[in-house]
Amino acid sequence: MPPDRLTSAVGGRRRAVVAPLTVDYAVEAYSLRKVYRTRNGKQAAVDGLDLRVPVGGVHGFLGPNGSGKTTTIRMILGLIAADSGHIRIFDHEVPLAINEVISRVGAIVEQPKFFPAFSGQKNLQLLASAIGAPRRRVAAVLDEVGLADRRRDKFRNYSLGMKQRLAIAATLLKDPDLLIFDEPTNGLDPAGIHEIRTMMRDLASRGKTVLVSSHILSEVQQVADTVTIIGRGRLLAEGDVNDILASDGQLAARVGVSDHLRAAEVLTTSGFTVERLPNRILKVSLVNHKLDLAVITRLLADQGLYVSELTPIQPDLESVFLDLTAGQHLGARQERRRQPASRRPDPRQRRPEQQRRPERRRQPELPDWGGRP
Amino acid sequence: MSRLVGAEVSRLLSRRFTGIAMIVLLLGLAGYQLLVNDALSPPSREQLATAERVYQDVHEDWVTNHERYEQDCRNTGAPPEECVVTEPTLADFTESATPFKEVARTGLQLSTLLVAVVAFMIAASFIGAEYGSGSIANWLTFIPRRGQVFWSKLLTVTGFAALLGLFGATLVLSGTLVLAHLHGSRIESIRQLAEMGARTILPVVMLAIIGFCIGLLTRHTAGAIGLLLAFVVVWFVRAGPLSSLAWAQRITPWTPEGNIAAIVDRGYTYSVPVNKVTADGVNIEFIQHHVSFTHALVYWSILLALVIIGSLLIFRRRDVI
Repeated sequence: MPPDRLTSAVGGRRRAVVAPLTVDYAVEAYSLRKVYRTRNGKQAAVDGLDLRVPVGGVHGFLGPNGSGKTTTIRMILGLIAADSGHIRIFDHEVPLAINEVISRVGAIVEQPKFFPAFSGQKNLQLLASAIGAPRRRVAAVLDEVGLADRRRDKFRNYSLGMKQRLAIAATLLKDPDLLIFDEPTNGLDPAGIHEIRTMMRDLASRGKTVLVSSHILSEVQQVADTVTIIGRGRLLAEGDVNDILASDGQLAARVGVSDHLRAAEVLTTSGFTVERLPNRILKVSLVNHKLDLAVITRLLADQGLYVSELTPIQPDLESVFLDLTAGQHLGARQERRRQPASRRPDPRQRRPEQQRRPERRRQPELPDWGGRP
Repeated sequence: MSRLVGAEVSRLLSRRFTGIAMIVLLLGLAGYQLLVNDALSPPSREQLATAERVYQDVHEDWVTNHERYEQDCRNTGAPPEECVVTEPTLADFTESATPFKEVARTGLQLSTLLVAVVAFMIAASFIGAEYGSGSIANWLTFIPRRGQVFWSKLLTVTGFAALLGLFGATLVLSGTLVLAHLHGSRIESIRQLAEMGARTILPVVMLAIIGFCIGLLTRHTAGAIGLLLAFVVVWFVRAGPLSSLAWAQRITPWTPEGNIAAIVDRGYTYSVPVNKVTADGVNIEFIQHHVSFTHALVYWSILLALVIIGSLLIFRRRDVI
């Protein structure tokens, strides 16, 4: 349920302002939905999505291709209208009040799109004159993104990296508080990726909020403070990156045993998931539960099986992402797992310290702890 | 709003398409001045000598044979008054210079067509290129007030078209005046021609607005140009193969081109063919009708208001991808 204080025109309904709250989030979206009509009927690009981007820092917005990231960003920016749901930017309802807040938002949606026959400088000058930014600001932002020497080149002659830089320069024209980058490192070489990453961190260190959508997870892991993971237009997980990784704990371990077949049987009976690897190695995991290596050694030792190798496999954002988005990519079967509304807590009903905790949407499947100590 | 219009004007004037279209327009108008020069020129000595020779041959033939020709005609049973072969004169064979007024009037009509088409293309391309390159999405992330964005673009296009129309009319009239002066033609009806020149600005502006709105609705320059070509085809079919059909001519007061002609010429007269059955058979009579200047202004005002409001509503509500 969206909070009652929202004043919304989305879906033609208005809600009364109940009480002002302190702004905790740069972007909030609740129950967002957007359906496109295609030849094959209606296709929900975004299906009841909740998104919360805390003020300050870099927030990663992750999801497989076609999961609705760009559609969500377009709805946030008012480029497309949501079929239902509520969006707020810095406590302003959008698209109703987007005019009041747009000066605080800079955005690149998908590929940078400027007038191809104009130079980078001319493109920025046009934008600057339209928003009333001083002309000297154009030179400053071009210099900031390292395009000062190529400012007179036509946009169509820029490399993809230069186009991305120009787009970033454009967003900086307004000196915004919130920057939204949609796949900003697409097509960039490693140096360009590093540059963009550094820039995002730099912006965050200056107190800006950066919302970056990406599917390059290692990159997001390095740069983001918080993340939202979506699949098929629905929220799968959100929270602090470190907390999300920590919540997974050691989800798996490499276990070397001479009688690996018997060891596999013992562990499987105890509720572990066991996968056989070459060289008598087992990959032992416990779905969404912290894996206690001591339990494994004890279980095996009780059966006279002694481990020759026991190595925890540390999860990264990629494994978390793949785990969460399994079956959520475009090619996957359309299995809709509808989550009950009660499992989508309203952040306003939580204490502040709770809001910072990671919120895993999938419930762990508890093993049958036959040999649980 | 003024900032937005300023940015749009800067973009419009910086566009290559605008520059190329202006060059094409200038070449077209300059080419037309060559035709004006020909029309205003008195016949040359060679032309006069040729005309004299042809006249003498024809006159000699008349002197020798006209009685026989008349007799042959009467022998067919035709009334005598229809069989009179008049004596040719030298004036029948020499082309005199076209009067200034007629040349200037035709020049304004033709140049309006050219300038209006150029204005249509510039306007359609101005918005179509934004959709084509996707830069409209970028623009709207900076200026999300879609109403203001729409009006700033439309105002830019309208103002530019008005200047273009003024430029075209001035160029044609002044060029014709200079050439008429050089050839010693009698210069008359300047005031009426100036008024007509002023009226030609209206169709240029109207076509630019239509071009802009179609470019916006089709989201592509090619789409707008395609629709313009389709309209031209319909126009030619109505004026050509369908010209003998009464209904095709009766709709003239409701056609865009009929009303444009009424604006430029301050009223437009058209003919509707009507079949009349007589004792001798079926005669086709052409009944003349008139489209008034006021009718044309009201027609175009309503049409433009509908197109602009429709385009604005769609622009405000349509998703920009």
